[in-house]
Amino acid sequence: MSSPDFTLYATTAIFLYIIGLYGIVVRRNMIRTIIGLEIVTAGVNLNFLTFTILNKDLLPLAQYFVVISIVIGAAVASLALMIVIQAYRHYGSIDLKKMSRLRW
Amino acid sequence: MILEDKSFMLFQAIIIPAVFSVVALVLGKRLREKTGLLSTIVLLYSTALIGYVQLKLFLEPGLEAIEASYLWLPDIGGISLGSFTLRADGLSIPIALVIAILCTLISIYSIKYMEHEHALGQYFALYLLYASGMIGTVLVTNLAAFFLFFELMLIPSWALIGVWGTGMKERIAFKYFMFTEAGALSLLAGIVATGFIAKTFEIFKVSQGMIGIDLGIQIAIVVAILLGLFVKMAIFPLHTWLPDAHAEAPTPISALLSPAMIGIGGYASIRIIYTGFPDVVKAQTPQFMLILSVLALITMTYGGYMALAQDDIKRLLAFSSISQMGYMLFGIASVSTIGLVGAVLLYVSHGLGKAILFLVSGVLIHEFKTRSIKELGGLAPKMPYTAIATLIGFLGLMGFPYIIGFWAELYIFTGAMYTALQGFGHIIEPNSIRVLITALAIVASILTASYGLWTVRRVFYGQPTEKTSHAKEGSMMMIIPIMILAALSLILGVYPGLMASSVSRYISELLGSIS
Amino acid sequence: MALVPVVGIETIPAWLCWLFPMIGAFLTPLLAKINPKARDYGAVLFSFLAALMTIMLIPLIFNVEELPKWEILPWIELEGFPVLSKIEFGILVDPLSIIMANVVAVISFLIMVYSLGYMKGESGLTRYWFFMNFFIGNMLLLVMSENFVQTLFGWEGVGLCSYALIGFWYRDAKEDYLKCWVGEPPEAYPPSHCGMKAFITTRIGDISLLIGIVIIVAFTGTLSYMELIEKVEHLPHEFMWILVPAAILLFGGPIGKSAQLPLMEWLPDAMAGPTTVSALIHAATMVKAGVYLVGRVFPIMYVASKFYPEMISFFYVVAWIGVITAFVAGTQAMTSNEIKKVLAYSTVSQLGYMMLALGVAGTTVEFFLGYTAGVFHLMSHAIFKAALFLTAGAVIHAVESRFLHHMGGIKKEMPITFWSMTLTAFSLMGVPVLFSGFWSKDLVLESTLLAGQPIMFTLAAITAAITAFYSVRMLSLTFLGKKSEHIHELEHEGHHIHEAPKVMWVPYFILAVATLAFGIGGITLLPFGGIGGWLEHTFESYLSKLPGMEHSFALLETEVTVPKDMAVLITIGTSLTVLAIGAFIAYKIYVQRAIDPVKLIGSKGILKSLWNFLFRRWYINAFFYKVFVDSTISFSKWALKYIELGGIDKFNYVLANAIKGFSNRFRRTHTGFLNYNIIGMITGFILLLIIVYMVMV
Repeated sequence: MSSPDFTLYATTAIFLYIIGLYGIVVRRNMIRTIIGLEIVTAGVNLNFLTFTILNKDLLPLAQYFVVISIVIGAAVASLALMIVIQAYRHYGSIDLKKMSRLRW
Repeated sequence: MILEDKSFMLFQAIIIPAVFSVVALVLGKRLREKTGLLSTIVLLYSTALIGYVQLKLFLEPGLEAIEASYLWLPDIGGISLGSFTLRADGLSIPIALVIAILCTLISIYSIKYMEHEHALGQYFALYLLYASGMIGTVLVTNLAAFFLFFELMLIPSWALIGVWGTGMKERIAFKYFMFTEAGALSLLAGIVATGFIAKTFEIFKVSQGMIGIDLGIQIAIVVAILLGLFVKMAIFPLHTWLPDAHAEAPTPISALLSPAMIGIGGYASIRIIYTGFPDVVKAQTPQFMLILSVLALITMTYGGYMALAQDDIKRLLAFSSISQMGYMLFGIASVSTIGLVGAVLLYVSHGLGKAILFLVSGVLIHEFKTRSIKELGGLAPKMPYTAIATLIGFLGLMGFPYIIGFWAELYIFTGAMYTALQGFGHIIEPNSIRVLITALAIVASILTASYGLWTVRRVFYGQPTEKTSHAKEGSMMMIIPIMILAALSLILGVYPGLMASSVSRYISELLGSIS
Repeated sequence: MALVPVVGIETIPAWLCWLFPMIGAFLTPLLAKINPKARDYGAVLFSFLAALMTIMLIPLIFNVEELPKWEILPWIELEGFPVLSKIEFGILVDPLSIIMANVVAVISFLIMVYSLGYMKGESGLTRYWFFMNFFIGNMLLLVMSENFVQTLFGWEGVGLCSYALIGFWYRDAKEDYLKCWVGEPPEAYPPSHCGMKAFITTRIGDISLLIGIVIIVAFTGTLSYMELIEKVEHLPHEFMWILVPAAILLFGGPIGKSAQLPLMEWLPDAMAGPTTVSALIHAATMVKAGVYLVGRVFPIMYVASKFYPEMISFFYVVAWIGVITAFVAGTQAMTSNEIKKVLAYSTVSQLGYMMLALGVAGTTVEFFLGYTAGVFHLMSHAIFKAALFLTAGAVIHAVESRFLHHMGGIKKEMPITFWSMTLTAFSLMGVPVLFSGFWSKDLVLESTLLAGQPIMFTLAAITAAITAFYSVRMLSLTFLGKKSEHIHELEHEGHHIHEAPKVMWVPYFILAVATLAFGIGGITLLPFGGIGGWLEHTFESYLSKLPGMEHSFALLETEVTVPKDMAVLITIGTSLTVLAIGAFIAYKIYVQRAIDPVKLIGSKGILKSLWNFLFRRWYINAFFYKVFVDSTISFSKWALKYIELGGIDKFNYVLANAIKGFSNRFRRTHTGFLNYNIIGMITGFILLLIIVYMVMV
């Protein structure tokens, strides 16, 4: 296989990162926040692997990290969804703006 | 010759009150105001220890100091936190002795004065902690430990004012705390800077570390430290916490706050500046010490004028304290052996005299439930001891002979005039501005005479007012401490050498090592 | 002559003379517990012992070669002081101190005896005896002291006793208006106010004295009088200029204590105290302390002026202040309505004479003339003024009022008092030959003339006329003429005027005899130069022995303008003339009642304004109250409002409120909205990256 283009992968990772951040920061719907979170995780994983292009010796380490990260990502997602369900039961809505009790 | 304190005398003098404060807290519920007896005994023990040390220093001219050094923290990164050293020498012992005597006598006084108050166990517990903090501040020579005890003085006094005070006590206590704490933070900045630059926190090694450091940096550090100390000492314009705090604090605490605590700022100034930063003392551009003299002069006059305008007797005494601290600063800024000895003697004289006056005002408050001078009058026939004590107190503040205040003022002014006319070593030249400042300072003592005599007249002479028509002398438990303090002022007034000889030995060596 | 302190037996009285009264003072409360009579007689006993001690010192004055006797004990030794490291405590016995001590102690004893009668039945006598004895002790300490610090102890000590005794009736009871208030509205003051006024005014003088002392010690390194005399010659010349302001500031103390201008206003108001206090403290002794101090430092300043001619201005200051005060105070006495106030103003005026004499002495080569005049007048005045006050006290007691217009026509009932007062008043006026006042006052005038000071001489002579005027006025208003309504009222109530009890008239009778004795002694000893001449000789031989004085006198510039014999004649002629003028006018008005003073002055016009001016004490008193007292208090109240509360305190609250306001607004960033929190996190992270980047680079 020819050496993959580093810049391409790096840009994709950053792109994913930004989309995910957008989702977290801007969206009021909690489900969308979680989706954003997942996208960021994906971007991060991709980023890890991208850097192995530059240095082949990192490959095993990077693979380990990514696998563990995916597992953690899944756990985080399920946990987050559970929080959303509890919040919905409590507030009757999944709008983040309604949940600002920790304010001044 | 420096003697080592093998029997932990100094350490005991500090720690025993702190330990017994817990005991007082526990026993307080049972004993109530009798807890005061416990605290008196404990403090009497501390006084005895310190008195013994002072006696040793007085009797043996060759003895320079008594030190006790305990290991504290090992060196970290090249900076030594130093050891926890307690040092009793000509400078610290008179001050520690005055504090100890005042704490003991006022503890007796508190028993009677506070008898109707609540939670007296807590009161005496805090009181013992406060005493321990004050004595500790004076005896340590390690800057970090000094800061520790400085804060230890602050917190119990804050609580004492806030719980047992009068008027808007919580607010006043908070103001007092905030103000002094802000100053303490500036002090901390200075101390930390010193530690880093001089690589040590031991005050006696700081001067070594400061050799060759740029004068601007040294002055900056000294200013930071002095800001903290001057807040404590209530020098203009950092004095505004004092009138409120003194007026609204319970009288026994006022009698400790004003005479004992604010002078510690002065003691610390002498210790830290003269021992640690000799270059600043010798500074010519700017003439740092001259600026301090001017500040002292302003404080003296300002305090005097403000005292004249007061109707509340405790506020009047508070402003009078500000004025007296101006005198002490004037002595400190005079860069002469005589002036510094005078400053220490002024601490003693102000300590004894102001304590007498505050305790007297406490007697008046206790009997007549008022602090207003307008409502008092014609008390001398019914309250002779109080009247005599008040007169002695005010005469001492005025610098009247037969009372130690005279020697304090004589030495301060002679020292200042000597530096003005003959200079200091070959470092500070004779300076006619200093002569003028000294003359103005002496003139300012007319204000002290005015408000003192006027107050005596308004309160004790003339016809009785409606509030005072059924006056009788205060109870013996309150009068006897006052009388003891008056007697001490008179004894030292006729023979100040008792305290002054060890002071002068130390100070002359100190200044000798600078020039 | 070597000046070395030596201890000896002849000087033990000098130590004891002030120790006895001090001990007596402290024993008084104890004796009071035993028995009031024991306390009274005990107090008088201690003053008697003091007088005994001082009399025992008199033989020393006849052997001038043995003097001075100088003894010191170590008091405070503080190492490491460049100056003042050793303060000693000692006594200095020389002609000046022996004379002064005797004047003080003997007159004090007589007044203490008089007090037994005068203060009978008063409450608070323990306090009275304590302060009287403490006063005598301090005064003698002042006289015997050998350095400035010791003098300060005595000086302030007598000030305290004066304060306490003036305010003896501190109740300020309105019922006691006739007994112990002073003045008339708008300047009527109660006793406690007068005590405070006296203390604060003399304190101002003391401050000036303290500045002078501090300069002297910082400059010369010593405070001992003897050492200063020695050191003065050897001081470096380029620094001598500082001695001039130091000396003048030093004189500020005597200005305060001896009630000279501008600090004279406390003395007339000090009359609020019992008459014994007025006699002792404010006539015979404490007010003389200022004159004494000038006499003490005289040799020092005189020697200094030889090496540094500008020092002479010190003496000119003393002389001018003295003569102007004498004149001003004399005029104020002419219109006073209270008997004690007349005597008080008269005291100020006579003190001015003493200062004048000492001042002009310093400007001439024959310093001992003026010096003797000052000391002789001090002695002479103490005797007759004390007697005048004591007689006035007897009259006040009898008439139960302090006002002259409540007295009159009591010559028949109180003959001894009348004759004592008349004789001593003649001494005050300077009636020739038989009275010591004549000799001493003439000596003052003579020395002024010989010093070449015609203006001062004229002023002093005019003052002598004024003195004659008010003395005759006082005598006639008190004893002659018709009895006043007040007295008729008293007789109606059953209080008849009668002579004073023996314990009261014996002391002042003795004093009247003494003033006659000194006067007659003036004639009979005339072949030997009279008492004045003997004193001159003593002082000349003593003072010339002191170091520095034996140098050639040629450095002083003033010349004697009039040859001595002419001066004596001119002086006698002038003093007789002015005496006659003043006495004659007063005689016409008050004795013969040929002219009615009230009609003469009228209610409007120049004479009335002049009378007002003199009655209101040249408005000096009002001026001081307005400018110094009221303005200080209103300034402090203003400063309290605007600087303390309005400025600095407000700044604290402004700061606190600003922080509170900021914090309130900053709270709004805590929206609780998760998205904003995340934005915050990201922003912080980016900032951190930037910082790390910058540090790395």
